[in-house]
Amino acid sequence: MNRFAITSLITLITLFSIPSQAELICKWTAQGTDVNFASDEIFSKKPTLEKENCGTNGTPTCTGYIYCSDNKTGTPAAPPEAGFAACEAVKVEGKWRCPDAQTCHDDVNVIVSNLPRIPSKAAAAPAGASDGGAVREGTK
Amino acid sequence: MKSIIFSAITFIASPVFAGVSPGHIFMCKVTGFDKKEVKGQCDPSRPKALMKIPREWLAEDNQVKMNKRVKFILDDKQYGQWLAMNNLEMPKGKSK
Repeated sequence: MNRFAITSLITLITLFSIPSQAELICKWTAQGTDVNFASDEIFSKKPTLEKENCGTNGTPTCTGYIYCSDNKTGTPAAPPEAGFAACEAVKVEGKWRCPDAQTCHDDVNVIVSNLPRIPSKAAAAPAGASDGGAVREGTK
Repeated sequence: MKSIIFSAITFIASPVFAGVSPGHIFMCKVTGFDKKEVKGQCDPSRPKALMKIPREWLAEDNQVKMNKRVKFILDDKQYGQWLAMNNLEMPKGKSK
């Protein structure tokens, strides 16, 4: 086995040892969050079915806001955050439905930046301040 | 043969991008501030962990008041900078 093959093998082993995204725990912001993101109007909306944005084989996509945190083990990590997620819808009893936030977060078939039509994002909303944990509504 | 192996490695090495936008949206409770930065609680499960936030990243800087919450959005580059300035590590599996 030559040096190139050995290097390739080591690279592959290293890459496969990288932890998967499953270590982030996510839920829809509309389900509520520890920091009251859900009190902001844009985060209180349930995930929506986007028939204009199709995934593989014409599958509708779901878009919405998620709130993720790590599994709180090991070394100190970044604080929980919200983000915009998109994924393929799933068919339940003949109807298209949005999956749970974790499934949506982990869906590698849909990439937000590749969507032909990206719904309004929180980036358009100004940062806000509030008392008692409630968030001032941002413009969309 | 080498090009095939290299292509395979390149393909596998590509980060696994899930359907998540590159924007990172945080909300922190202000516990202190000065002209340059805000200190705040950003993780409810770690109330004693205070994080430094450059004021230039806050869209509405005039909203900075004690015990109020500030919301801010970071791009990938700022996110990395923010973690580094607070001596924190990227969450495992965070490739976005």
